[in-house]
Order: sequence, then C-alpha cells, then structure tokens
Amino acid sequence: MPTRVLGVGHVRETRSAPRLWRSAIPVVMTAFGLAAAVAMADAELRTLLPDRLALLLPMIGFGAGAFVARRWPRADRNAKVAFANPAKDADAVAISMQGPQSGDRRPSSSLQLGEIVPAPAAEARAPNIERVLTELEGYPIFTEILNGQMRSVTDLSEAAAGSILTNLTSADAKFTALLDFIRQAGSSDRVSNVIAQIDSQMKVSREQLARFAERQREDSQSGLQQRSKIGEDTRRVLEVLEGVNGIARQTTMLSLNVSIEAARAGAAGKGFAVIAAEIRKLASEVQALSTDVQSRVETLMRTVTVELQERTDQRELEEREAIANISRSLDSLTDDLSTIVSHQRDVLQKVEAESAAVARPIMDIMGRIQFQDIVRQQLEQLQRMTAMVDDHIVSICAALADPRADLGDVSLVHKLEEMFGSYVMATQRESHSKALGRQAVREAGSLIEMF
Amino acid sequence: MKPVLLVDDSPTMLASISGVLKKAGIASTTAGSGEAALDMVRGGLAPCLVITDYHMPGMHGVDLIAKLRGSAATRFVPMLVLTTDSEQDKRRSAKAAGATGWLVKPVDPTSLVQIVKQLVPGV
Repeated sequence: MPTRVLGVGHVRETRSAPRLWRSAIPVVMTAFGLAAAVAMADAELRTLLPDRLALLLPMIGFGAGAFVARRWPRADRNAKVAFANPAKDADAVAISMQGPQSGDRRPSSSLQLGEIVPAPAAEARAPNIERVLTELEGYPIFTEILNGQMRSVTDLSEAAAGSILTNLTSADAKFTALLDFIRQAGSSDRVSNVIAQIDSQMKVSREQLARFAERQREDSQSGLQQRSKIGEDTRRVLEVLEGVNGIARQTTMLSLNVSIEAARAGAAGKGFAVIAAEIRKLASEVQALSTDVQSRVETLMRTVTVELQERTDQRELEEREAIANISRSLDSLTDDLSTIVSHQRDVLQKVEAESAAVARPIMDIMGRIQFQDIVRQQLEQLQRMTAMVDDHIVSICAALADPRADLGDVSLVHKLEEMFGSYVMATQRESHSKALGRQAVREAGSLIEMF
Repeated sequence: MKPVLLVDDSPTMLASISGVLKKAGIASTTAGSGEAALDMVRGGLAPCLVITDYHMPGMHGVDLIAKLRGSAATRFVPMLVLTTDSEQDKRRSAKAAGATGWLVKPVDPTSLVQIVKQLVPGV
C-alpha cells in the first residue's frame, strides 16, 4: 500500500536545540555584543580594528542573540502544532518537505525533516475519527437551533416593530384628533362667531338699557310736568280760596254795615240786625274753613312739588347709577372677552407650533422602524450562510468517512465566494472582505439615486 | 387625490412607509407582493407613484416596474425602488426597466417625503 501524505506541516526546523543551549546561546551572543560594545569604547582597542568592523561587532552580537532567542522557541512551538488526524487506512504518515506529519506523538525535538514515520494502528486511530465524525454530524442540529433562534429574533423583532408602529399610529391619531379639536374649538371663525354672538347680545342689552334710561327720563319729565300742573291747579285753588276769603271778609264788612244800619232803624231794624249777625257768623265760618282748606292745599302742594320731587330725583339718581354700573359691567365683559380671545389665539398658535414639533419625531420614529426589515434580511442571510456551512460540514463528513471522496467545489474558499456573491448590502460585503483581509471595494452608488 | 402604491413583502416596511407618508398628508395603499400590486392596478387602481422593494418572493421589484410600464394606468407614473440592495448592476437593470430612482434602506423619512413631493407636485 502506498504511503499517503495526509497534510503539510508548518515546521521549518523540527530539531530543537537542547534546553541549555536554547537558553545559553542568546545570552552568550548578547554578552558578546555587549563586550564588543565596551571594547570599542576603548580608543586603544578600537585602533586595532577597522572602523566598520568596530561598529558592526556589537550589532552582530546583539542581532544574533535576538535572532536565536526568537527562532528557537518558535521552531519548538511550531513543531508541536504539526499534528493532524491520519486516515484510517493509512499505513504511514509522511513528513512533508517542511516538517513532520501528524499522527506522530513523539516529541517534536525527535522528529527529522523528511522522516517517514509509521502510522499508528488503525484501531488506535478509529475512536478519534469516529468521535470527530459524530461531532461533525451533530452540527446540523446545532445550526438548526441557531436558525430557530434567528427566526425567533426575526419574528420577535417584527412583532415588536409592528406593535410599536400600531401604538405609535394610534397615539398619533389620538393626538391629531385632540389637536383638531383644539384647532376647531379655537379657530378664528368659531371664535369670531362666538364674539359676534356675544357682541350682538351685548348690543341688544345696551339698546335695552338706553331705551330704559330714555323711558326713565321721559317718565321723569312727565312726572315733572304733572307736578307742575298739580302746582298750577293748586295755586288756582288757593286763588279761589283767597277769593272765598275775600268774599267772606266783604260779607263780614257788609254784615257790620247792615248791623249799624239796623241799629239806626231801631225796632224796625232788629230783624235785620239778627240776620246781619248770622251772616257775619256765617262769613266768619266760611273764612275759617277757607283758611283751613288753604293751609291743607298748601301742605299738599309742598308735598307734591318738593318731597315728591326729592324722592323722584333720588330714584332717578339711583337708576342712573345702576344703568352706569350695568354699562361698565358690559364694557368690562367686552374687555374680558377680548382678553380671552387673545389668550386663546396664543394658545392655538402654541398648539400649532407644538403639533408641528411633535409631528417630525413621530414621522422619524415611523421611518426608523425600517431597521427591522434590514435586520430581518441580515438574519435571513445568516440562516442561508449556516445552511451553507451545514452542507459543507456534511461534505467534510463524507470525505472523512471515505478518504477517496473528492471534495471538488465544496472547498471553504468556494463556499466563502458563494456567500460573498449572495450579499445584497454593502455592509455585508465590507465585513466579509474585512474578515478575509481583503480591501473592501467602495460602492459607487449613493443611497438615494434619481435616474 | 390618487394614492401612492407601496409594494413590499415586509409588513413592517409597509406600515413604516405608509405611516411616514400619512404623517406628511400623503395617502397611500399597500401590496404585499408584486403580483398583488399588479392585480390592484389591473383592478382599476391608478396610483400617482409606485414605491417597490427589490427582493420579494415571486415577482421582484424590477419585474414589477417593467410590467407596470406596460399598463396604461401606470405607464407614465414615477416608480421608485426602495431596497437594502446597493449593487450597481441592479440599479442599472432597474433604470432600464423604467424605474425613476433607487433608494437604499433605511431611507430618511424627511428625504422620502421630499422626493415624493418633487415627483408628484401637489400630492
């Protein structure tokens, strides 16, 4: 059976120096460099050597010390990583041109470059291979779980985004309705109508008040005229009574003259004397009654013309004050109304400004929800990638199970190129290129392009 | 006023963009696929603007635009592609199919409204 080369190691030098040398050589070389540097500081010694050599010696010493210190431990380290899993049917494991092949559990220091070492017995390797295959075959379950989790994230984020949008739309609708209500309630037309109504009512009230005041004035004038007429009539009555008094006085004088003439007539005049006395008595009573009536009429006239006038004046004064108060109240009401209207207009302007200010962030939040669609697409891409990895692992399993199987296009490089071709977002391409250590190609198109 | 027709397989995108347009006072109607959008237009819908996603199950955005360009109702209607894809080849294919513009998600809401108002004055 031919010897199968199962891989290429990365060891350039497998033979490691003994531990003592590994530690001592760099120290010795460095010490040499140091000694050379000290020696070159001495002028006499430096004259023994050419200038260039004097400069190079310390540098050679330090450089060689540093090189050995770096290289030997690395050679030892690299030797340790040069192990792989040999196939079940391999008879031997070949050491490549660069180093030892895997399967060999000898210390790396004992491996020789180009050495062919016998492969471990198949029965000794089988448990490892079987375990690796079992582990790899378990990966689809792992990726299925991963995909399930990603689908769950997609569903959750979609539900959350939908809920945010629904709630935002609902809140926005309520807010808009409230603003519309405030706008309508405080709209200039509506306010104008209310003001016009109130103004009209106040105008009516003012007119009624003016008519009332005019009527009061007319009533007052009429009362004055009536009182004047009463006064005039009373004066006439007093004149009449004065006339009655005069007649009574004349009658008394006449009765006195009759009594004198009756006394001259003697017995024949006795009857006239009695009549004259009765007439005088009657005139006296008439005069007394007339005087009494005159006094009562004068009292009545004074009551009518003075006291009633005073009361009327007082009432009119009170009424004028009441009317003035009402008028002032109406004016004050108008001023208050204007203030309210002005305040309401300010509030409305404030509401309009706030409405515009709130509308922008709401619209912005609605727009930003697009992130969910982007995340969804990225997660879907990840799901496709894990499916790709799944396929690749299945191919590797098949190749491990059958060493003659040809991996063909299922190489990881091919898969990575396939993944790269399936990206739609610039960020996906950029992160992929970055992971592979490639220079990311800057995409020419802008985010908004109008044709 | 004729509505803007939004076509996307993502309900979130449809809700987001229609919400943005509504906030700007622009009416819109939505379709969850290219086929559904085509049926709506054939059923008598006459949109003032079409905004479609590119990657959708079934008919993709550029196919939809090509088909809408063949319909009398939407022959001269502006059509935008709104997608996460930023590849130049796809942009060129969209332009060849009759697209008016290419917007990469996430598009800024204010810019979107501005573009819609430029394409459809008085909307």
